[in-house]
Amino acid sequence: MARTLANPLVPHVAEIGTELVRIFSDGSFFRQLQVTLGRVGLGFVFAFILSLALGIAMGRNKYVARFAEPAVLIGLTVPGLVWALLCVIWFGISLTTSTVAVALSLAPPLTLSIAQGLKTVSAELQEITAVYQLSLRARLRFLWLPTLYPFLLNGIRIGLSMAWKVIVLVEIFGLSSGVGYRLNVEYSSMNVAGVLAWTIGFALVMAILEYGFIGGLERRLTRWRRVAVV
Amino acid sequence: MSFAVSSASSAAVAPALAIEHVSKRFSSRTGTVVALDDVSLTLEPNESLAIVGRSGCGKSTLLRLIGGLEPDFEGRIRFEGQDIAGPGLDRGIVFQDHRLFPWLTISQNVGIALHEAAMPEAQKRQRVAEHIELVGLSGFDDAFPHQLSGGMLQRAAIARALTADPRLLLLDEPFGALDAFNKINLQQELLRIWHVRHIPMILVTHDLEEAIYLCDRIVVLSPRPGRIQSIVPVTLSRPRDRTSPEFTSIRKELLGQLGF
Repeated sequence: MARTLANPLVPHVAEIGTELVRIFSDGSFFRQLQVTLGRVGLGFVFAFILSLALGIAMGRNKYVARFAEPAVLIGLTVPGLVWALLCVIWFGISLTTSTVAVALSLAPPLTLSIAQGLKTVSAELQEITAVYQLSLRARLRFLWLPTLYPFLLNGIRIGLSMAWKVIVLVEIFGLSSGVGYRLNVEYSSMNVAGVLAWTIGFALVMAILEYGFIGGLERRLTRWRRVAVV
Repeated sequence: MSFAVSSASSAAVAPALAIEHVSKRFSSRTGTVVALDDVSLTLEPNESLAIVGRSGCGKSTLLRLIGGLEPDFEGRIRFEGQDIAGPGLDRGIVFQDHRLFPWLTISQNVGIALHEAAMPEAQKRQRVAEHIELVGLSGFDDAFPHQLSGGMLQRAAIARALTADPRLLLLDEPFGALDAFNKINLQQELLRIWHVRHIPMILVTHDLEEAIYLCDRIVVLSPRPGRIQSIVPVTLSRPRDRTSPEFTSIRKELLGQLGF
């Protein structure tokens, strides 16, 4: 389609290709990607720890669940764009902005997923952990986390896709580095091929992360499962 | 285990477990069910006791009370003189479902019993290996539960229950879900293990043959409310012949007591 429509609004495939080669070969793509990935990673870690603690507390205690549920539900409905804007206003141009924005957008769906997942913890195995007097840490390691793995993996998948969207917005509005910033620069100079090249590069990295990293993690964490052969 | 005080008269030996006037009620929206009503029972050291009865007679509830898995009840249960307050490593439990963690290997599952023990890692590994060998599962240490048969999983569950060195073994219909041949096989194995370990055990079962084959005394519970109907001693020498006339007559007596 781009081949036949080639005009300033929809650039020719070759143009995008040239642009891709340029950003890859001069190293700018990887430099900016590293910055963006670092910000996503940091926000992700915070969101993960917060969600795990809150999700488990909500799943185990109905009072905590009742108390935190409205906040989680409100958090779910706030668009990532709003978090991005607010964090830029609150924290200015700093690492805090990107970290908090990513964490705030990720925590609600992740928390909900973990709280739901905890309801599937087997009561029978729970009794076993009581019989052998396992500590809280051991219960987390042997019972809760393994039960939560499918929910966590799902949460990581959804979370990553959301984190990308939020971080690009934060970088466009308030930061002077990263993939979002580069997108904004290309946009300002009306370089459509540039915008598309950055987007395609980004999508490629996403796919590699999904199939390579999360897929590998999933295979490792679920190798104890019996697989039907019919 | 030859240091056991065999010269002491049996009257002087304190019971391992004393159940005194225990009642247990379950309340629900539709009303209150009396699961156990004024049950009193003692268990001698090294004794094997079976609890039989129709389903709903409270036999599993009684075992769960001894295991400390049900908090609210009336009466007193003392294990080695101490009131039972919650579950403890001094009482090993085997359930009808093996309750192994599906994501842990057999040796990791057995090792759960020692996870909180203050003991060097090497010693823990050795004890786990010993118990896996005791139940005849050597070579399956690194297998996941889904790779093993039902009988083997029950063996692993027995190994886990014994690894923490409990002083009482509680079995809640441990072989109820196994096929007839596996069942006989595991009953013989349990008898062998019980002889090796010398600890008292309580077996809840609905299989009369299993109760007569394994136990010194058989407690018959009557249902709703669960009460002790009678206690039948089994004095046959071991190993017991399931087809002998004595065995059959005890079975007949028990069947009569249960109303068949």
